[in-house]
Amino acid sequence: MKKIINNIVSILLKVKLFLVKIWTPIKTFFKKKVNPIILIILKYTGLLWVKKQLNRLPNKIKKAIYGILFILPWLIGMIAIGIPILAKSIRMALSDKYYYIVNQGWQITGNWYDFTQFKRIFSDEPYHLTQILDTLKDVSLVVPLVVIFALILALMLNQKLKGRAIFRTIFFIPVILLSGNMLANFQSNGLLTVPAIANGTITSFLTDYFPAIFSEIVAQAFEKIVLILWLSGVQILIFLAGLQKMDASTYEAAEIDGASMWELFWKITLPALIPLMYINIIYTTIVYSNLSNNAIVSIINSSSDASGSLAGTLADEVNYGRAYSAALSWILFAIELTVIGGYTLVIKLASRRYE
Amino acid sequence: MMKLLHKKKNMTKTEKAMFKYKKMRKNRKSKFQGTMINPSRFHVSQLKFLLILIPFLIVTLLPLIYIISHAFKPLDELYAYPPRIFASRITFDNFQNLFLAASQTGVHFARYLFNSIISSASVIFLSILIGSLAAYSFSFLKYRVKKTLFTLNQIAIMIVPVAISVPRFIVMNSLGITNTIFAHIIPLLAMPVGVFLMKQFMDQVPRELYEASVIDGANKWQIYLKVVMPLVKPALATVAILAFQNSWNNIETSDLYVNSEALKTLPYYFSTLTMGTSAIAAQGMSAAASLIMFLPNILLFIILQNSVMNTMAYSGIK
Repeated sequence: MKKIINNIVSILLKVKLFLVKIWTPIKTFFKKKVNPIILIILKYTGLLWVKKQLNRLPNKIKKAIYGILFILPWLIGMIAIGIPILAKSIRMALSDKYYYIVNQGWQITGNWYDFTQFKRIFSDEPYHLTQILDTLKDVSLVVPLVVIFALILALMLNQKLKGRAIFRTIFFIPVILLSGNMLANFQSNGLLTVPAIANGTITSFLTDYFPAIFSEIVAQAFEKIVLILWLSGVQILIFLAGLQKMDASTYEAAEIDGASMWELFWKITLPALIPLMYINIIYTTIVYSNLSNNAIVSIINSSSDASGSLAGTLADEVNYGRAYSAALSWILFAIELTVIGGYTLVIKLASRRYE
Repeated sequence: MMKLLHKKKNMTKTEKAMFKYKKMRKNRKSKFQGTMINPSRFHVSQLKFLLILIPFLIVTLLPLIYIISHAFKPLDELYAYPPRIFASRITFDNFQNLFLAASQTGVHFARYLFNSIISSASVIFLSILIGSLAAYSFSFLKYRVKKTLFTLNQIAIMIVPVAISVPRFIVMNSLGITNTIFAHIIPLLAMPVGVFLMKQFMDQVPRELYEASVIDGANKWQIYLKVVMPLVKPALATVAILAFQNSWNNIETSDLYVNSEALKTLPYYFSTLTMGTSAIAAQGMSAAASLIMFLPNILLFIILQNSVMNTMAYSGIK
């Protein structure tokens, strides 16, 4: 056995030596400062001239050119695919009807300034209005909880702890699992709550002893505890990156000055984490409100024929139609904006004393 | 133990003091383990963290265990209410049914697997390349339209993907990439979330490092490749995982943009398999299929785990 392994290793070494032998002349050829072949290519394609002209440009424009060059692949994708999609989606939301006719493609009726779909949502569909409000409530409850839990877990995982790497890994695993249909599957199986909470023991205790608003919030938070933990994988990572960047000597100095753990957290750790808090709020809001388990997304799913056929005129007739679902998606967009804006403002006001 | 007590009884005063001191030193040593990041020993001082972490850990792990055990449950337990986490009787019936159904279809299983692997590998590679270039430009370079472009990215993140399936189809059609392998790749390349995450991680990279490398004569491409990219490895790994997930579990692309059966991907194949049979058998088969679909995720995570968890090292700059 050992002989075989030795043989394999020696063969591999020979192959490596051979590759190095071939590679070195190529490498040295390309490492020359002015490569003759490249110079010829540059000269005859006119790139040398371009380079000369570029060097003459003012610094500001040069910087702009570099920036655009790096962003170019992204920009091409955005212009070719992203912006048309966004524009079409807006046009869809601002139409009376958006439907498919065989051999003619997608048709639009109605003027954009009529706002038919939005009028319909806010005046004709009271049930959907309550769903929208529910989604707003839901998102605005879950987002701060995820951020707080992620902060607590990140602080814990940053402590000196045996088997810390394993803990970190396990808390990151949900990220690789989290997808819409998986979540729907869990929800139908009642896995997103802890059994004791589902029985109602904790909820009844809360309603007996605390004011109604508080108990409702806490009960909902408990109901979504698994979801909250599952959503906080990436956020923990972001917080950990920030915590690891922190200077240990700052803590030592504060400790020598007589600061307690509590003070260290409020006066040193938290102010440094506030920019990361904004990021986490944005990220959580986006991920959570685009999961398929919230009310608006399920309406959109049902009215835009989730089974996938694009010519689904039947679904348009039966349900609310694509224009309606596009309008709903822009309302969801508005909800996300309000949640992000609201919490950003809260943190900005709360963190004013650190400045 | 007895020996130790006996020893303690017969000790003189100084010996007792020495014993106490030694004990103290020993305890101290185990509490403060130098600058080690991962302590090798357990100490009582760690207990308070463990007490908070372990309940959360169990709650986090529940669904994961559920996925795995669900695939091995016999039919009657799949429908048990309330659902049980562990299977009391392990069977491979679900897998057997799945492979039986798979052997009866026209196009070979390997074809779907090949399509899936090609499309998800290229999605990972290209979306990280494009995304990190854009993020680098957003984070480090200075030019005028940057803010507008980043706002555009933010808007693109917040749109619900379901709602734009029709406009997407129209655009895909007008670009002429429907019914090719690119239909699986190009719609998923735009990962605004990835750009956002990478940009935020790059913002954490100290500017001094960037300036130092400029002074040392590195050009922008070299800084990107040799300074910034190694520092944001956790973000890259995270985005790779998200991109892979997005592509690997995606039924939509093969549903909407591809007609020919030979170009469809694995998740679509599994979904059709479970659709063809009766609803009761389908439950078990879909559980088995979801476990099979889940395995590559875990594999990728194990490969990338090290770089995810070693959050940024900021050596040299304080």
